[in-house]
Amino acid sequence: MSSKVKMMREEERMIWGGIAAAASLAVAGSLIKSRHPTAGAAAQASATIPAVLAAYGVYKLILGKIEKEKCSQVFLVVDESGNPVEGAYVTVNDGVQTVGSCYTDSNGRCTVAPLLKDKTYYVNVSKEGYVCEECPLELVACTTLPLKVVLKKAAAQITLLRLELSKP
Amino acid sequence: MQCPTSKIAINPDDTYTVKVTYENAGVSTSKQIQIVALIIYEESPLTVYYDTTSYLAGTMSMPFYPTSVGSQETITLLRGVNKLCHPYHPVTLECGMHIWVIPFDPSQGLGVFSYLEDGNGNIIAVNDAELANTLSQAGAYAADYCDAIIDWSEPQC
Repeated sequence: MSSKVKMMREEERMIWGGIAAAASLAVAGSLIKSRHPTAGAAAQASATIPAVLAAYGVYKLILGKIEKEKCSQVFLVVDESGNPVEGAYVTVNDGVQTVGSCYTDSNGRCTVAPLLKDKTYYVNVSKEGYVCEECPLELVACTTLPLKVVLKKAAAQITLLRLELSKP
Repeated sequence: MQCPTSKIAINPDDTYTVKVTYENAGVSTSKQIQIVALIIYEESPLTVYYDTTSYLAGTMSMPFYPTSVGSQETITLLRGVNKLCHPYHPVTLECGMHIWVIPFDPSQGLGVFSYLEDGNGNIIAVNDAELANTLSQAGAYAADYCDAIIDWSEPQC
């Protein structure tokens, strides 16, 4: 085998090795498809893996943009008797700002997405006539089962003092 | 709650007036509320029937903004009317009155229920299914009752 052929085979191995590495990284969501094939690109390809990948126009690795896995969080809001509470407003805060919200349906359920998996959030639930004594709830996203929140009937905010009944 | 010390008798076609005094202990003056007064009999709301629909005997206020927090106010409810009669025999019931203060926010479907009124704008009856639904949805800012303050005379039709 000539030294020239041997060099080309080593270069091929590097190319395919690079593509395999790129494919495995793509699973983590860190690659963005990029097609920049040019007629002379292959000829200009050097032996460095990133340059080879770019030249073949297969994938372009965007370094520093690796994102955490995202997930959806389901909430279940019930009253003290365990009955679903419809129309409760659920907000999710990351400690700085509200990142998601939803209104519960007739089954007391709603979903907030996307959240970052394993990140800690704070949950508030509100509905007219109810109070959430356990709020804000700490949530490590996302739980396998719906996150259950119990609302209690609010104490009367108006006091009835007197009833008068008469006929004109 | 301070209740009437003497009973009143309600006969067919009588109108009656209900006044409720309340103190606002924390409801925002920007939120509308309404007061519902239903006649109860043996601890159950008195149900009446028009055509095939069941209704509750009672009256209510128009939606209004509560007075400022800590203040008191007396509200006169829409005038109620008794148009009942019993198809088989005269009946006299000893009745009380149940009062709810509930939020009114049509944009969220809170406190919305229908009722029957006569030609003079008096309340004949309240839709029981809709009222039950809005009470379960909206909750109540306040609820109380006065027992055995009405002699409800329901003659034979």
